[in-house]
Amino acid sequence: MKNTFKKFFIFKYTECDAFKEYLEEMALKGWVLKDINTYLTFERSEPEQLIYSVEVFEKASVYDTRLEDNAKEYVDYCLEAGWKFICSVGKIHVFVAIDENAVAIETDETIKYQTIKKSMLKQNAFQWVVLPVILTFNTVTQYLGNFEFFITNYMTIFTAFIVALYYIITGSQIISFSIWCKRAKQNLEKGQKLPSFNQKDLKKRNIIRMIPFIVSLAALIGMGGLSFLNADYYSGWFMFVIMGSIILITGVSTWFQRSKLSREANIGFQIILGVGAAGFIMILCVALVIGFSHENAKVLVSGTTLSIVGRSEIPLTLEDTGIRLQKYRDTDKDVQRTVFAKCTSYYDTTSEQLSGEQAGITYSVFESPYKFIVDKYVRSKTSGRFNKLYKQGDASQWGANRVFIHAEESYYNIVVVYDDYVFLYRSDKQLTEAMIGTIREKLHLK
Amino acid sequence: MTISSVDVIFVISNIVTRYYQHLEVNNLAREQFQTLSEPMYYILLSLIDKCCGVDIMKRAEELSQGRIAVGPGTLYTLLARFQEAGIINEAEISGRKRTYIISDYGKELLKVEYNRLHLMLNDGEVIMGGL
Repeated sequence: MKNTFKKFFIFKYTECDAFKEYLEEMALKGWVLKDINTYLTFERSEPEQLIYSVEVFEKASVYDTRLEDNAKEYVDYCLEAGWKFICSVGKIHVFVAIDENAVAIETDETIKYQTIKKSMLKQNAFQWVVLPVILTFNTVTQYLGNFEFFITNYMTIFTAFIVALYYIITGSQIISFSIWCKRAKQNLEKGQKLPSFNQKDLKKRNIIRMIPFIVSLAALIGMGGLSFLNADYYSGWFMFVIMGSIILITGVSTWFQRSKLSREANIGFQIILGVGAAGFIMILCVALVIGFSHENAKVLVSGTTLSIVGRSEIPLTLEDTGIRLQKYRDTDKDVQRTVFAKCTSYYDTTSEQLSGEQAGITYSVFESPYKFIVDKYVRSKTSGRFNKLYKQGDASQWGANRVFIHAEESYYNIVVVYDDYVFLYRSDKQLTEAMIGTIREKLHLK
Repeated sequence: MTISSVDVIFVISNIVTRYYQHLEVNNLAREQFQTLSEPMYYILLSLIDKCCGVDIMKRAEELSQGRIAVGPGTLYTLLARFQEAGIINEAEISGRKRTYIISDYGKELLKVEYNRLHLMLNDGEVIMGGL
């Protein structure tokens, strides 16, 4: 028969009374709380009626995994008043009554309210204020900066999904806390106790709180799998790395909590762990970008120059645009695909430093069954601060709906819009009618 | 991270810090001690003589003839706030045991409260005395 039992359980400072009820119910079932870290650890005992007290000790830090000096003094006071200390995590301290007539640890509801409110605001300032700003900034930058990458990549869609989920969770936390504060003030004015939940509500809340974790994990696995299926190995491996990092960080932080190190050591290790994890993910991402940036990649070294050169089969080459074959060329094809859109990009270039001449073409076909996505893509390519010079062109020779051209002496950009796909072409030479015919034929443009 | 997002974080953390300072200075030190609650009154009465935390709990209960029970959590928070506001001073430290005593400012505050309660009692006497 197992003598210990572990349970993943989340509760907020405003739910300490409900958690106390939960512990008392567990004691009646023969399970007494021994420790709190990532999990609650219960130990088997004789079923008994115990009186618990779960308190927020403001002077403790969220980084504390053991009692610091000021908390020891607080625990001494509680012991003298008839409360035995059981365990603590961060600001939360759990006591059990050794004297059934012991005076409650917190006898002033106003002070209790101030402590809970201040601790909640302090602990959540980063999550409620700073993090949403950073996440919004990153997502909007991705969306506005490179819409094509955003909509054709499961990695960015997953990020946007997590941000949306984060907003829902954070929003509901802020609303729930504001309601609690309002009710608490009303109760205090009437001389009543602070509002509390019962343990049944807390159990329900715990189930609801698990949903975002499960949904995020399912999205991570699902979108990672889809990325691999679509041969988007970069996004696939990226999500694999994220998943590995989450498991690793959870494992390491559990180890830290169980090791009961000092507050300074915990802060130091968390900084090292955070910086280390961020650095590791960045290095891995750079390695993934290099690894998957070129199909059939080859590395060429000439003097001090190092080039990564692709050898992909592409439908339209430099020769098709009237440029003679160069000795060194770099061709690449890249396909990004999600359920929303697909973008196939190609380029064919020669390296000036290697061959003495430079020429290149870049073109892509963006497809989406959704008209608003096609329209947004066209807008992102032909309007805005950086695309002011685009002018409407003759669509008839392309058999297209619309054509946008930005052409200068040594610069030629064209965006050709069809019903559910868009052809984009960039070169340093203007297209002739014959070349347009070749392009339409080779890329099967209507 | 770009410079602009670092700026945003800096500005927001400044606002949050100022909000906390505002909360602490205005709400706690001034408003809270203008009129003393019963537990505050009895804690300060207990500290006319040097006293440690555990003794304060007992003394407050004795002085109020069992009417006022100050919980250890409440006592700990109040002692810290009294000390921050200069109402009490630390008299002695022996290991983890700290002994406190009321300051001159604390005595003044206690006197003001005593006079206020006395006035209230007199006013009540005028109306209620004949009933």
